[in-house]
Amino acid sequence: MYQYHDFDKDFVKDRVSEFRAITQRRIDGVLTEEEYKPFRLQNGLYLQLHAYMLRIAIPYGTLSSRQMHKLADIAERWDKGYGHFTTRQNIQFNWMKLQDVGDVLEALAQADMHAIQTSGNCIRNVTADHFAGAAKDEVEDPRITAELLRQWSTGHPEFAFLPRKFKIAVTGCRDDRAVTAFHDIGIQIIRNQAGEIGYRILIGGGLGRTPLIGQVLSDFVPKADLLCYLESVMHIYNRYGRRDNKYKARIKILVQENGLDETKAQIEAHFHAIKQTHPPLSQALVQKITSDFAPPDFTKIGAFDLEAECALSPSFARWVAQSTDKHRDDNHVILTISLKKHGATPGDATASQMRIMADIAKRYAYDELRVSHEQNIILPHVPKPHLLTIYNLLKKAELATANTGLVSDIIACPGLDYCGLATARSIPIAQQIATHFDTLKSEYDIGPLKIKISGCINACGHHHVGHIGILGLDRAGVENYQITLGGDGTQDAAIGQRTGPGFSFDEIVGAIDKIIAHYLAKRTSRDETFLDYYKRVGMTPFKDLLYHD
Amino acid sequence: MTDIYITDTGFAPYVAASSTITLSLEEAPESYYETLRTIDEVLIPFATSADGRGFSIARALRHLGYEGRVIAVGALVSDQYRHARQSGCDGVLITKAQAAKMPESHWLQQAQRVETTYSTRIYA
Repeated sequence: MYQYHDFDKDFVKDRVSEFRAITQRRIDGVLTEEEYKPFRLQNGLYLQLHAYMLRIAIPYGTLSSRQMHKLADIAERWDKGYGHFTTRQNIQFNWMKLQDVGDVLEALAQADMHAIQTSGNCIRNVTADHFAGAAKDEVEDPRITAELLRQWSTGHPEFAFLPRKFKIAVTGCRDDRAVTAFHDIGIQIIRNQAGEIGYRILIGGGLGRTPLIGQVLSDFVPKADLLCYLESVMHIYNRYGRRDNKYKARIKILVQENGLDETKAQIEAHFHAIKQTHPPLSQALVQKITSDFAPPDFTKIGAFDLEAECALSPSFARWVAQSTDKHRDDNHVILTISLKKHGATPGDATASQMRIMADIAKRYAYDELRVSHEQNIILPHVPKPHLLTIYNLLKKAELATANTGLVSDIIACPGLDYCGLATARSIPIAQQIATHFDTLKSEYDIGPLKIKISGCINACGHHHVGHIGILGLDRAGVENYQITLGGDGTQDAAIGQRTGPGFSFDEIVGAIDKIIAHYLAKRTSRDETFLDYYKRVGMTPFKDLLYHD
Repeated sequence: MTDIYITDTGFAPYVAASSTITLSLEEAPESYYETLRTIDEVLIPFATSADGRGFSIARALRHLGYEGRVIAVGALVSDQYRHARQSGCDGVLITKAQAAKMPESHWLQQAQRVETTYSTRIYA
């Protein structure tokens, strides 16, 4: 993984001292809260319902064991002993004290980490496929591009005070695990007919109160032109994006109001105007980044009969079947560690769980961990012979729940339990659904199903792309939950459609149960997933059973 | 003049160039650049510190080849000095009231950060 250069270290240290100084100016009254807020946010610090929340960047979700240990230390020393992994592959600590934040940032800097640009109206932490470097069908490891974008966007002077936040995701595969169609800019690494590697660029996707699927801005941007092209996108957005209404300030609204053709013409006119004078990329830097992401030597692991080992233990076999994906090397797997134990808060991990995962990664899995946008932890390169040992260690730490991709593997935003914007609780709904289907012991029968829950219209729980989405609202002081069906965040991007009127807190789990019971009764076979079934039959039967039966 | 002009060397009284214009952020400088290029000094207004359009306007002017003096003026705070300089401004113009809140030392501290940018690394 990327190794910090002295420049990176000095930059982060300088930002810590800058943050301390600006916070002192706020405390001294030199800056108003309005003036201070953009800087506070650009250093990851929010004021939430009960306390300050600090969001720490985990660029493209990649962590070393040393960094995971540092997060555990922070959880224990400055928070309540746990952290919350987020849908942007970051981690949040929800119980920070303002006076401690400078010390926390300094502790992070010791492990080459920071909270820079995890919030605010700037280019946010760049995300990438959490299977990067391990997936079988990858054109190129997307983290090379994501790291380049991290460096380009970090502290970029022109784009630090944009109309609104700006999110970029990168994938190197056709199978899109990075939800690129729902980002301000989505980047897919592709190979053109001439065999050259470049980028397909999507623009104007997003969730929130106006969900839109990204449109193709360019079919192929050569590698050498990427930064110049993105500078042009950002330049046009910064100049012409709306600033009169924060709910219409994302680039998706600019594209929607002006049309793709006009937006593209503006961007490409600027691109051609600056291209001649735009400096070329440093090849030395590109080579360093590329070599930092060189895969481990997989050849040291020989063939291993995992099936035979699975045959000895049904629970181990179940966990392997549910938690592992094919790796580019046949003697390895990609392992997803579920942070979705039934009844627990999705995405939370205690300090001791963080340390156990870190130690496993160091000892058995090439010292690398990932955070997925689905709020789980990934060990991208696990030798098959180590799986049983890892399983036993995870099981002791309550980290071996075999539910990845199933009904209880729910994304949920913090909701009204933590968030100052939320209009309803999300976490208790997720807990109740997970517990309900665990009690019925039906989730393996139900099969692949993504439920995503947001506690307000801002859609941090990605409900629009849930196969079943749940949106919590406030109706005259009472929590009310709308259901959407058919959302899909993959390459087959789709926005979920609303079933109809919402349900109360006490009714929502029953409504979800009805939907799933109907699917189980009517599917053609176990091979027809919930999403396949919905695509085949449409909304009508679900409306009937929810509102007319 | 009562305004204070800030550069990397600190505060100085503002002395306007022989020809000067304050841009409107609503008008693209590209559309009247032939006129603009004959003017010695361009002032770019910042209505609030959260509105960063002026940084892109400064960058656009430099891309167009403008060689005169470019000054950011208005509601900037000292922590944005590097953004203005790195985007192509020569300096920042503030009022005495702003200077009373944010003395020269604050701006000089930020002036030291002008060279600390990833762009010095990622481009050849």
